[in-house]
Amino acid sequence: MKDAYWPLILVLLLAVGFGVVAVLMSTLLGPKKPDPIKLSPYECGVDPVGDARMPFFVHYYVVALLFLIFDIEVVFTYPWAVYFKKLGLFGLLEMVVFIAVFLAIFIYVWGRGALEWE
Amino acid sequence: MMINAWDVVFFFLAGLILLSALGVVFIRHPVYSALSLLANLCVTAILYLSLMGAPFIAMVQIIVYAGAIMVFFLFVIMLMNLSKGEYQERAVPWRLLLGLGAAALFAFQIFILAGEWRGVLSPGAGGFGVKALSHFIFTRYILAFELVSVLIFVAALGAVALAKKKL
Amino acid sequence: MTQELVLVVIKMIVVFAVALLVVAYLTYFERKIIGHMQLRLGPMRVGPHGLLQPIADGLKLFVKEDIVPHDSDRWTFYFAPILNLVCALVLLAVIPFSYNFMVTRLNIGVLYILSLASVGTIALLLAGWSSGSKYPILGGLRSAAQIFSYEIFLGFSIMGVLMISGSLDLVKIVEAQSKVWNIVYQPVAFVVYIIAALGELNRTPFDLPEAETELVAGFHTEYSGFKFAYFFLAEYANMIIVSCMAVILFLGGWKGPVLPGIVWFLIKMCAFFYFFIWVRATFPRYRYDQFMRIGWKIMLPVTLANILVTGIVMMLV
Repeated sequence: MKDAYWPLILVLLLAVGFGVVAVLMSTLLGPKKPDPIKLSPYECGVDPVGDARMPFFVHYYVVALLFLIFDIEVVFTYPWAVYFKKLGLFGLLEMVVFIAVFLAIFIYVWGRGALEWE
Repeated sequence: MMINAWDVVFFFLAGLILLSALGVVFIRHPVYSALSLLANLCVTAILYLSLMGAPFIAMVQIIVYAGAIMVFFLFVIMLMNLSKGEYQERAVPWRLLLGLGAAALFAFQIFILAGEWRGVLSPGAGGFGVKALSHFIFTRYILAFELVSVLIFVAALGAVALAKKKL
Repeated sequence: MTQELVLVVIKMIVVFAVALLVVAYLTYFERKIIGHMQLRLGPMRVGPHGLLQPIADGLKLFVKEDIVPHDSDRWTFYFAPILNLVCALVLLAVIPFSYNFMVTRLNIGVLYILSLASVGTIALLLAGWSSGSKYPILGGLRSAAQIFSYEIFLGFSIMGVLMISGSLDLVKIVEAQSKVWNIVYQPVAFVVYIIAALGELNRTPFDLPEAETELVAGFHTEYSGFKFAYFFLAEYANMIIVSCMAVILFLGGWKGPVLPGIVWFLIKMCAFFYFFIWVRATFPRYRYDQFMRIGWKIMLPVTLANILVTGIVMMLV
């Protein structure tokens, strides 16, 4: 079997088609008896306190930024891993340097306490 | 100049890319604007995949941009979690200047690429297979590759410094 | 060309239909197995031994009232579950169930799976945000942060396999395991992959975004009816994908004696399902700070060391 990318378009169409049609049908078939209590945001049965849209814990932001940075590192490692057999010792040394820099980042981030979750 | 099937595909995808890019600029709602950007990135990936024969670049485009940067944008929008109305009116100072700068950059790119897209955009033209790409990154451009890790180091310094200030 | 097209369409429909059926019965077996592990019987009422339970559940969710909370953002509220399901379903297209049976073969199959799986995170964030309620937003943020943290070393953990097979093509990765399965060469990577997979799937012991005691049901608290079913379907479809990837990357895919390839593949896949359910019945939930510590401070360095050791050993042999 050869490589082919065009079936992906069919797969996407089928998946989207199924997703949209089934939800629409379910929405049309189901009963509709809205009332203000039923449509209020869930808060364990108590009347909602304040607005749900309020700022959150900044530590999530640090995790997201670190992920962004390390993800690029991972993406660069894929072509290296695939080509490693041809690169040989030279390739290994390249990756040693790359990972050494990565470790330096890692130790710095750890040392500054960005990985602590309190 | 003959118009063939690949040209049609190109213009269709390019149209979608332009449309979604305009959406990013003109939609006020931050989440919808971000979704427009997501559409833009995905269509660009499809362009790489279908017309340039560069599946690796296409997938990396989705992993890094759609999977990481886009999620990060949405994440930040959610963390700030603006209530309705707060994002309605927020004029950016020197908006005109920024717009002109972007337009100039765009014109420059057009100038560079003028007349060349046909050569670049034909299926399998470059043959940017993974192995070919690895070959270039890890032999000829090895210095650039190692410098990337230093660049990432600097980015991490920035990230931690920013976060510490806020904590 | 027409023949090829028809073949692809047939394969596609077969794979989707079987996958949806497997997902439905996965929920049944999960309840049944956990029931028996806790000395209960599990579902018994609908059909013999409750065998028709998943169908009853599906029908019930299908005709349920479709509730859209008044603080929610209607468009994204509908968009999020659809995006989540689509991202999970399209992944099934590239899984090689045997040497010949797959919808399509890509020479970058591994990256295709990782890329679209990462787009699925957007759906969780959107679902949390669009609900306009406190628990879903917190649940969405937690899910995303959790997937962020574990995606990095998931990527690093499969690097050893890529080094051995020298390809991103799932078929070639399996072919490279003709003599010895990768699990023999990469035991550490295998363990790390499984832990990362549990984290990515939001399953026990890492089901923190859905911690009932803290967050009610996480990002899908406000969802009901078929939109809720989509999150459920997507979660179990992702479980299929993760199991398939484990089989392909570490357990030699369809390779095995006597029986035809596809049977071997399904046997190995079911073993993983059983393992995931078993884990759920056995382990308590982790605390969030413990979860983060395992990911960043233990798994990440371990995978980096694994890459270097694999490289050195491959040089010496």
